Amino acid sequence: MDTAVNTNPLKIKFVGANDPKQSANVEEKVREFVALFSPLEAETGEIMVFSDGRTKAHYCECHVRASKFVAHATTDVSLDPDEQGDYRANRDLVENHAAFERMKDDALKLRSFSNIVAEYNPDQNAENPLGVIGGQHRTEAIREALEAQVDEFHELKVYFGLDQEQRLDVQVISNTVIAVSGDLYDRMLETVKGPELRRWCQGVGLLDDAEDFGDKAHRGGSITVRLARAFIINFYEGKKSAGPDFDTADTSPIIPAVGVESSLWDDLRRKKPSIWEDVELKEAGKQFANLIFAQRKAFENKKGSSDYKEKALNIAIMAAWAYTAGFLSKNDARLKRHYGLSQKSGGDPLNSSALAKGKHKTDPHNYRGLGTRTDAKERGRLVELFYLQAEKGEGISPALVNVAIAKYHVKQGQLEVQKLQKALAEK
Amino acid sequence: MTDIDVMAATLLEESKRFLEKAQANVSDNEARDAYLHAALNIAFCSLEAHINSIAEDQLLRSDISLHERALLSERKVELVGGQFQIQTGLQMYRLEDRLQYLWTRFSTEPAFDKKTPAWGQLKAGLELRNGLTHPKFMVSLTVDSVRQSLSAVIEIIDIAYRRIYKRPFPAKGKDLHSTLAF
Repeated sequence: MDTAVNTNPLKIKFVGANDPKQSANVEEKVREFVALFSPLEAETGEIMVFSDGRTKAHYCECHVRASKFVAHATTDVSLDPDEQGDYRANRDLVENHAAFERMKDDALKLRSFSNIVAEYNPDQNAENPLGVIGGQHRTEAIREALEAQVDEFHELKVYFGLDQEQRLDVQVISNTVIAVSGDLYDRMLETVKGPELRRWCQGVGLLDDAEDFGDKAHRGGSITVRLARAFIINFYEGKKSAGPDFDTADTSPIIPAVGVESSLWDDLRRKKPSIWEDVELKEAGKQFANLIFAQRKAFENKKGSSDYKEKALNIAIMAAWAYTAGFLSKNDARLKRHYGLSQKSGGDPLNSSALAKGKHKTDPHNYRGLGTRTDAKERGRLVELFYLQAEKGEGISPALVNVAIAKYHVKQGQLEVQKLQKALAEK
Repeated sequence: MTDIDVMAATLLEESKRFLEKAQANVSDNEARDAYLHAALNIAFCSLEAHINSIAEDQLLRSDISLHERALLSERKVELVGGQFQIQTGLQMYRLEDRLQYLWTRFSTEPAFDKKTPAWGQLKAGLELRNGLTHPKFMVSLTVDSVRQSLSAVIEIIDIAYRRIYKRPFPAKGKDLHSTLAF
């Protein structure tokens, strides 16, 4: 298409409300723009210029080659070029964001980006007259890809002859982003991978029939993809560590990152296609769903207890519980007692108030008790607690919480010695 | 927190409060001395409680010998029927010996340098405390000497925490300011 040549003079067609005085100026700018950027649409002999009904701002939508775009565009745009030329309209580039990395990767794989919002304004910058208002990350991705000889067409929305009010309006709407939460991003990625995880969660009762994963973690909401992944990953991590000597085993549950591609999860899915049929995992999932239900039921119709009510869905608790289930998968008696936790009567099965009082002497003063944080220490302490509980199956008590916490710290000391001994032996 | 942790923390706060009261009563010699006696004695009670609490944690380890278990729990060991057994009878050890055992045996850090100022101040404080609890001559305490001893106690607990748990002693951040207000 870009090789076809139209020898007829270019027609600029105005669509929508139009002021003849203004349109002459706009038409001149559009012709300059076409001469400089050679948009694909010019080859049809006509460029349509629209007028925004809200602000009367003029714009056209067109496709431009990366080489032309990069040669004459800039992201260094000021909000108010006349009065406040030093103040930038764009936010800083977020260099290390996973979505930006993906964008750059896509650009190298010939992605054609769209809806890059720009203003053609040679008065502000004669050398780079196209100021990018919305799409600076895409512009950077296009620029980097062009360095690798990737010269694709990209779709632009280009404004012409903006007055100050129109310019501010365009900049505001271009930078108003309804952020995609990491959980929603995970859900989208998981959907692309296939329906297996959702079906598995529905099958074991972690999701209701036809219910989808939550798009954002919040109390009382549906479980998120991250929680479901954490459960399965830690069940298998626990199984991997299982052995006779729990006291000297490194029992550290893992929490997968949110909002990024998880190699841990992808590896597990790829290397273990049998996940979805694993009877032991399925039973663990069902038992954990029972625990969530029992924990919620214990606080039914009680005011001010939403944190305790949703305690089972604290990701550290979920990960530690699943890890312990995996660790005990070959120990039927203990596993039964672990699963029996949801059957405990006389209060909530997790004994949230005992957890809240659980604290080690090394904890800072603002530590609010076990099950309130999600860091590695918290997860390790919770594994100790669930493992200890499974010893006698008498439920969670304040004394048990204290011993579990102390055991966690003692184990860290022992693991440190093991690490040094191993390093010495390898020398 | 376990009961011994609560006790250890409370004693430290009490000691700091008595020191504050001594400072507030510098012109009343009788009151000042009484508060200083209380502050010094209770500071070392707190140190001992903290040591006991650390020892209690270590008793949960699976890699300690019977004799170590006896030392940690301050119990006697006797040979009974050809086997060593821990008895119910108390076997006391010097405070500084237990402390050094704990932070040497349960730390991967290099040996503790006893030239550290806190160690010297702790020993000086212990002498004052021993003079007070087993008096053979007149012991006169000053606000400065008790302040130094109490600071040394806090510093030593912090060293023990860092060596054993790899974490600071949370109360160190409050320095000598008590949370109590009696």
